[in-house]
Amino acid sequence: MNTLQGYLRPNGQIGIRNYLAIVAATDAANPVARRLAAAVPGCVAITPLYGRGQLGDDLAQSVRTLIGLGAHPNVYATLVVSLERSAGERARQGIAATGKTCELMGIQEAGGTQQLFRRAKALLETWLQETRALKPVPVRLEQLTVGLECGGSDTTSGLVTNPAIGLLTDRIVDAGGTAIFSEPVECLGGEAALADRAESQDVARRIDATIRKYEDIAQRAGIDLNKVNPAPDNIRGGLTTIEEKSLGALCKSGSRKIRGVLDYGQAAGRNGLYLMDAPAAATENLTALAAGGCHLILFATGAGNSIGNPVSPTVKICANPHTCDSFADHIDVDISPVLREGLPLAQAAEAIAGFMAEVTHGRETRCETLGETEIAISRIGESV
Amino acid sequence: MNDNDQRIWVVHADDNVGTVAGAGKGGVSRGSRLAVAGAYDGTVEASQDIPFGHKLALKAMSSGAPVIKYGKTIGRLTADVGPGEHVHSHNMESTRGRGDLLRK
Repeated sequence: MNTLQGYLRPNGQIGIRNYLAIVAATDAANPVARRLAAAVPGCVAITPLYGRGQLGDDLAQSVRTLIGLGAHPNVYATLVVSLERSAGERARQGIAATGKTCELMGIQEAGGTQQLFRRAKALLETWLQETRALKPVPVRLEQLTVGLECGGSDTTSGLVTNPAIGLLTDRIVDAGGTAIFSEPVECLGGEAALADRAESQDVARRIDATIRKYEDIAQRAGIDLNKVNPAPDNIRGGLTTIEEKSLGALCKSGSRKIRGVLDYGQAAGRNGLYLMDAPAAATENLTALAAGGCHLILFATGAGNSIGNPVSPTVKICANPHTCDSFADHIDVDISPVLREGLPLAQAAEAIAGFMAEVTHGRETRCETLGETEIAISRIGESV
Repeated sequence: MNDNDQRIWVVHADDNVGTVAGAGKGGVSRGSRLAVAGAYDGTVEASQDIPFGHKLALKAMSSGAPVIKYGKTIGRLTADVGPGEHVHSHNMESTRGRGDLLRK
């Protein structure tokens, strides 16, 4: 493995970026958050929808996710903005409790978005100066948490890209690092193999219950899940059923024991391999993985998918020769030589590991360069 | 399109379908004899045109039979298929998440 580097945070965590996060705690603050992110280098806007009129578990999941994103190790400091200060207070407290520098500004208290923009820009520019003095330190693989994702899948995802990522996942886990795969709906059909890999009976039961939850949604609604997933691009790419898609998707989790099941956006308490409970749609899933503290996300695509996460650099990996040519702007690691020239999978995994190391040294992913990043926090209840 | 650039990738020795996945970007034409790669060596003849990335039956199978890939069931056939035939949404279906089948 090539050398890795990062920045040591005051709370002992390692970050591979020094982003300044602007977290909109209510959607009314999204526009000014985006304008600020565009005005100051190094800023990322975290602009989910909603934020008012939520309650119960739904509110708790939204706030937990916002805190996970604002307190992310790749973030140097976070500014929370909301319509009124009180609406952003819970997020600010949660982020500050992790030891992260965090300020809160309310649009009402500031006297409008223009006033807030001027004050916030000055603050962000101060933080930006501070980040320029930071020096990177060497990082060991065991200090990294890597998210695993696939989107815009086709049959090459399950035959080549996910298996290549799986080889790297095994290396990460063997080195004492942490890897998180998710998309439990894309485990349907692969339950038996996952149960065999559970570290305990309790973990096996939780894996099974987490997967069944998503099948039950389709059963209760009287709908064929396969009309939604696989999606049309998956089907054009040769995937016929959810079982086929799942068995290919699961290859990215490698072969090691599964230590536990994480709730949406929950951080892993210990090192090892975890399944996270989150919907499979890419933006929602990336949001959950990033909120769980993934330093970067390895994202397999076949037909092509352009989206990434603003705080967790998202590495697009593709084996489909056609997509690698026609969608090249969005592909970070082209492993189509596996199909074109018979390149061994182990060498494809090596190429992914090499790129991952470069990302820790500051190399931008295509998503970062192009600004193809977005947040969507999954809703589990109605607004009132 | 050059069929010589295409292979039929078989993941597991128990599989009864393979995938068109070789160096070429196009699919395969009816009547092409294609090399099998992966779980075992051999050849198979495509009995119809099949796009890149799509599945082909490795033997004759009856409607209702399980479709096996990765050594596991990925669905069942909804029509009889012959060797070398295209296997996809038109002749196979999922058995999971089928809330539609529970509907009165």
